[in-house]
Amino acid sequence: MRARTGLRLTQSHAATMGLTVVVVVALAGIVGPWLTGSPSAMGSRTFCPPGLECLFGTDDLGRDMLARVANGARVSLLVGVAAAAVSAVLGVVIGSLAGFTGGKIDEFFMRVAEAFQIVPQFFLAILVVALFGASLTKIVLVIAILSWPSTARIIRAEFLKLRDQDFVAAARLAGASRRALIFSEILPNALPPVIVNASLQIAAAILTEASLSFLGLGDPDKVSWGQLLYLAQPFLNQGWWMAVFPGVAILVTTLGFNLLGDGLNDILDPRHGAHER
Amino acid sequence: MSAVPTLLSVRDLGVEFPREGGGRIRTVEGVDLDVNAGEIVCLVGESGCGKSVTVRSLFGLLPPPGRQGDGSITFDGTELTTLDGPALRALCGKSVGYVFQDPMTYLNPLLTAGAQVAEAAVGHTKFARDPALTARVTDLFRELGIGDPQRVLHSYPHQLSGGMRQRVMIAMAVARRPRLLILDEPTTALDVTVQAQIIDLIRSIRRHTGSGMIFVTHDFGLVAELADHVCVMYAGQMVEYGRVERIFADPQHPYTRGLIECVIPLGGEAALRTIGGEVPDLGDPPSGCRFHPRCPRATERCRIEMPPPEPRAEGFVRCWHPGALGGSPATAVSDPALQRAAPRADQEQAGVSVSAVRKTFPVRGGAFGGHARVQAVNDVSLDIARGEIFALVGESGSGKSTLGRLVVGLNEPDAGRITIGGHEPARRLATPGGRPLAQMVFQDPYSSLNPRKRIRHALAQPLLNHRICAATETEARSSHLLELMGLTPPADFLDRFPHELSGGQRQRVVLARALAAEPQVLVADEPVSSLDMSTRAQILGLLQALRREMGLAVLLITHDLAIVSKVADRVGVMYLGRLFEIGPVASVIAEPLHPYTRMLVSAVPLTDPGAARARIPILMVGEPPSPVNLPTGCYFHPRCPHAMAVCATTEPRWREVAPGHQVACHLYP
Repeated sequence: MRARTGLRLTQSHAATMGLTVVVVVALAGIVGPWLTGSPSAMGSRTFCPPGLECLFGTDDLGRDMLARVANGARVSLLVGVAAAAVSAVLGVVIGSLAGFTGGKIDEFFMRVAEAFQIVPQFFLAILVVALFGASLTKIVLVIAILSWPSTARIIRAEFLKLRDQDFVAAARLAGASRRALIFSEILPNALPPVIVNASLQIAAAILTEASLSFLGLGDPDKVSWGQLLYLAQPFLNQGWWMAVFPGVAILVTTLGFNLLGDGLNDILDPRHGAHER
Repeated sequence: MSAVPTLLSVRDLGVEFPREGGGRIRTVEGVDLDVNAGEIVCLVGESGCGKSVTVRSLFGLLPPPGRQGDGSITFDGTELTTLDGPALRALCGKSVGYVFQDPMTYLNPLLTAGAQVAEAAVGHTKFARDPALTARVTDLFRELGIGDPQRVLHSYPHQLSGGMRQRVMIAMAVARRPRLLILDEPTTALDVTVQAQIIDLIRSIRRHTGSGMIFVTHDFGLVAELADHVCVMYAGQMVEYGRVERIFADPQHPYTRGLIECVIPLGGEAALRTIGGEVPDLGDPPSGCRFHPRCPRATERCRIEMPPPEPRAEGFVRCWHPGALGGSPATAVSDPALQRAAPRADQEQAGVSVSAVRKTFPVRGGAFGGHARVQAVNDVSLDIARGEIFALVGESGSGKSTLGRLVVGLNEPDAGRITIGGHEPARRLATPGGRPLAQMVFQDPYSSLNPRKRIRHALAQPLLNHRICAATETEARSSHLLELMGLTPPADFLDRFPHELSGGQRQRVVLARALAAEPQVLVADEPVSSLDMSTRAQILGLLQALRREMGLAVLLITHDLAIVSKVADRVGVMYLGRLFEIGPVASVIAEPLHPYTRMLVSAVPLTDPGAARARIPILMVGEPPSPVNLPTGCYFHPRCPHAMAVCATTEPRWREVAPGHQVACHLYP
């Protein structure tokens, strides 16, 4: 099963491209900073245009943009993956509970989810960060708390569909506890759309973090792509490269995750495997 | 040959699919087929033999990776293989109609039935603004035996019953008076009674329009009812072709003979028979004759050389050892393994007692979110003794499955009491650690096994949860269970996923899982209706053996009286949640008392083409009424041919007509 999914992953062009981009960005984020050195080490040349000595140029303080973009990859990916992971866990737990139990509990959680969904999310994020100060953990938590409802809704819908299937009734007759029913019988069958959604949520989280940082609300101690854009604002005339490279990085990364998500959607869609029944 | 020109002539047709790892594989090959106007040709074979692929390839309807490889298709004098897309479409749209197995997936859920038929007839869906078109569609519905065409015209597919949806599909197919109608298992998903109506409808279409038909089925019983010519397909090849009388009287190919012998007849003494083995993967067919691994006549030559089609009495056969007298691959069902399994000594087996049970479900929706309730089971009482197989028959929607779920305890009755050996199953299931008294075999083995878990998990689950054996013994115990079910060697099956098994194998795994929990009662809900004819007997044989060797009480839920007549001891006939007739199987089948039971008996296809055509079936009129608004008096009176004034007002009382044979009907005062 797993091997076959891997095989099909390489057959979908969107997924292959997305996966390649994501792997390259992840490698850049993990290995890059070691190779390029400290992002805050100041060099002798300020506003050095991109060339052989400094591939991505240097900024107003003579810091190497390549090192800063590579570091930004680490921070942005960390925020994206962590936020999506927290939101997926929250969404899966709440969605499974709501979908499996139904009734009052379902009603309650779905109203809560709606409450989160009708709030203009980005402004709430700005508000929270502005009030409580900016740190990477807080930004991750804010993004996660704002984005779990979509996962919860997807999981709930899958549970409503799956809980009346015969194999669940059979597991009940086989003495499975409620926990086993939820986590061992139903959840594995409900996960594919969540995996797709998580991939899209990573991209969204990277964008949200970038937007927050662009407004100067990011973690000042951490170099992220959004922050690089923010710092580049006053110098757009002197050094276009200060804004272009982080911007391109954001574009390529979110595009990569979106492509991967679309590709996974094609691959994990049960209708694709229908002939294998 | 006759003077009538051949409508469709297929010569040496092949279908190719891409092979995994490059290249293409010919899954279907060497198909020769002739259809004359006014003639029905049946294409028969087990599932996976390439029947549907064949009929779809005729007019370019193959799903994308497939491709029609070679051969020639001549329709009405035109060679189709050389036509381009638009020309083929123009020709087929006018003169060919297709009807598929599952009408729900082929009807557009967003359009009314009338709109879809109108589209099939004239190419657009605005039938309501065009009185002439409305009249045309209405007339068509009426011709097809739809009682209230006005309602169906404006209904969406989900508002119609399965049989009605299939009629709408047929209406779409015949809307342009096609010269050729292709019916791909049109009745497989339907009840026996509705199947009888559709078969009758197909006969009358043939009579009135004179169109040629290709009817695809896995049921030789239907072949006897309908066919003029029969094509038997096995593993992508045509193995025998001939007139229906000849095929039944003198089957040449061993596979044909096996399939005919596997049909379960109504009553009689014939043993249940099955063809062992599985249809090979079409991507990797065996060498030589494709049937040789399952054939008792196989010799060295069959293993190496592919037999050519050999002419035989207005047809052909593809076999090295043809003849009606050779060995047959169909063997009588017996399960020696089970006889060795000692009955459980630790616990006295108990029967089931159901008394005055009622169950209603809330109906969702309604314009104002009303609180209507469906009466699924309405005042049902019955007893099943230990070691007895009690069959519950009725159309879909009669509440049989609900009663089954009540007996295993998945639902709790609203009123009345169900006990197994003095315990209530629903209460027992709700108790943590309580071992359920009854287990269930579900209709669809595809959905009753978790697609993401290995077979090992399915079997270990009940063993561990109910502490039936120590964790270290589960492996041995699971293997033993699989062996009992005839899945040998068990080690091959434990680590497979459900999708890697055939339907029959899955159903045996489901049965093994049910037995793992050591139940006292087994509820089998349509255990064979999704299986091929050739594997049905295996599962039914296992049920019989379980009853015999382990003393299990079995509640067999089915809509097929032929199965009942072979395996059950007693039978109850259910309609709209209520029992109409209970009695020993022999006496109910031989002398059905209730008019409803008589219809059920008459709906079973006969296995003799002569007799099938000679008899006049008692057809069910209309549709079962909605269980939300139940009729007054006897629930059956709106559809009953013998309805009297009293039937509409008073509920009939139970009366014992013969020993153990009871009926609730005003005809027996």
